[in-house]
Amino acid sequence: MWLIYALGGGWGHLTRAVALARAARNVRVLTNSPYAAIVARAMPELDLAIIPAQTPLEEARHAAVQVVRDSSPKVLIVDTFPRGLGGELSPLLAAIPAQKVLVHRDVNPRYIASAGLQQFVKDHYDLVLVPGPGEEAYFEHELTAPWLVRNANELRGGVPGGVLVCASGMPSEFEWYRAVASLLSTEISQYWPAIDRYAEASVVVGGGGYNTVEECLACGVPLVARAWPRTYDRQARRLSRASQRGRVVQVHAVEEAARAALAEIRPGPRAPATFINGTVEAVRRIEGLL
Amino acid sequence: MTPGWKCPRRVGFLFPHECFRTTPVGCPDCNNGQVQDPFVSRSDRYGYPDYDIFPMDFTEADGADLVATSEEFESDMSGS
Repeated sequence: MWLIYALGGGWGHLTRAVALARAARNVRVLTNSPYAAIVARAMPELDLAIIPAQTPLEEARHAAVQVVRDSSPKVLIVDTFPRGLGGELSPLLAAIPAQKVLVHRDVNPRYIASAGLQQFVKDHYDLVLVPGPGEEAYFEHELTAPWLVRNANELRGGVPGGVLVCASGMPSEFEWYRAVASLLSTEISQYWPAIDRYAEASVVVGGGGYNTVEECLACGVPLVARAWPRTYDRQARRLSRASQRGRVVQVHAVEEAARAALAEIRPGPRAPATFINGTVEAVRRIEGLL
Repeated sequence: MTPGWKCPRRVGFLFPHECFRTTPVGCPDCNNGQVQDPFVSRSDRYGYPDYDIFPMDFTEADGADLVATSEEFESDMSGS
């Protein structure tokens, strides 16, 4: 079995892990996302090990270690946080007889320095994969195309159906999205995976997280995005880089977002998405370790 | 003035940082200790008349990146 350690708040870590899991066989995903139940309902075939989001820090650390031990994975794939989100994997990695793979999404370099991650990754990981050219990498790595939870042939094309406001961040950020949606006379709905809706949208208003950005670029849909502050992720930098690869407009104010969204609407049908899903290549490279 | 007293407030223009004053007396930020957290009360950070004259690569997300201390890492299981 492969185990993907995908702890972290929000949708991002879990969605990226599910993308990889869909391209492989016999994969378990460890998550503490508050949205895990929604993902489980949408894809009941997934093997999810869920730590409740409200679990206190020490208990969550302990539970994560327990899942890793009990799963006895042949490959342990750790998303974003080399030592684990709470540092709990640090004493464990050397002790388990698994191939270790790090999924290297962008992280704050101050975290890398403060946790001594350069040497830690060199000492503990057999392979580092960077999921797409939009992520800044700090460790020796292999680069794949972006990882997406859908393949191009699973998405519906056709005539785009207007502005989609994707409130995928933290609950405290919802009010901003609600205000943008209100100005645009549209509504916010809860749906996962959001990429299904992006393919049918004229323009997306969202944040600067990995999945929102890569999914919009893959679908060729313009993204009007606000960079939200995160402890590890640097959304403003991702959006700046993404603007070199597609239609990405970075905004801050509600009115600015609404204006930018309306300006991005184009009449007529859009060409069907034809992206390469990097998860296939990622699975091939992981299998190469065995 | 209490010996060894250190101001508990945050100060700063764009990014909050610790205040290193040893007394609030004469402090232009907290106005002699009358403002609990001067950084929160600042309203002139986003007072630019037009975003065209604001450096767009420089956002509140960058600000948060700069003020995160090492103690904040690996201590929150809802981080991202």
